[in-house]
Amino acid sequence: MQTQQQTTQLQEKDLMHQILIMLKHQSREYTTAVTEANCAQVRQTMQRMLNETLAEQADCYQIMARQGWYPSPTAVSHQELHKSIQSHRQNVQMTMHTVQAAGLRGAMQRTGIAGQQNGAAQQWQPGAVGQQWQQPQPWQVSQNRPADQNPITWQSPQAYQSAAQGGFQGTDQQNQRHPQQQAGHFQPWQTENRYQ
Amino acid sequence: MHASDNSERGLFMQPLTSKELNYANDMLGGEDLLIKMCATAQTSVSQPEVQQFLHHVIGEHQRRHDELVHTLEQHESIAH
Repeated sequence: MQTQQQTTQLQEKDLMHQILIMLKHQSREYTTAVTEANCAQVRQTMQRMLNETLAEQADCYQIMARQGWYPSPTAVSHQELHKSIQSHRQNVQMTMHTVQAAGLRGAMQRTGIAGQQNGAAQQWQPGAVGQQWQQPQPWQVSQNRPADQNPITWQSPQAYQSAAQGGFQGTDQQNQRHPQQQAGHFQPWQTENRYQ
Repeated sequence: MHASDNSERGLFMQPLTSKELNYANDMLGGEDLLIKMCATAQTSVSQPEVQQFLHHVIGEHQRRHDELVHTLEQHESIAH
């Protein structure tokens, strides 16, 4: 009887392990699909699916860890951590020297262009190119889209907000989930203290 | 009703590249395999927590599979 139970548990564990590996693989594939996308719409769809897959992979791992189906990770020693921090701080100083040297050259080049804009470099707006895609251009098919049909901002379901506690707060658009999941019904595998 | 109908509606749609189609095909294959794997696993698991998780994710993979097909269908009209 005990042997039979052990066999069942092993199968269950193996199946979950297989699913976890598959989810990790699928996440990597989605990442490649996002980075290789040409169409903005395809990119955003793939990016949303990537985040959903990552959330699922995290759920899968948490279940496995709770069941004791995943080797418990070993905590790093204080000494080892301290050594890494020191090393990276030294690297930062080295990088700062490089940045400062490059910054000086950059300022010289700017004043060289007949002092345009009083030497002040135009600031790069992160995601500005992506925003341009969203604003209908004369050459875009979507220009006929009524003004009131602006993209709707999704709300994260509570179940996944609790999952983000103590860690990353998924509030940006890419991390917001499908509205059909907004039911917020409590899942046994989505306990509050899962990441504690 | 697909999520992409709203969240990605404001974006300009360009004809699908062969690269994008290849990735979409791969993703569809992956989602399909995950549905099968989870469905097979569901029949042999005893833990209620695992069962409920699998039930939930089967639905999720089916939805993503549908959405990916829908994305391809949307691009069908603007393909040369």
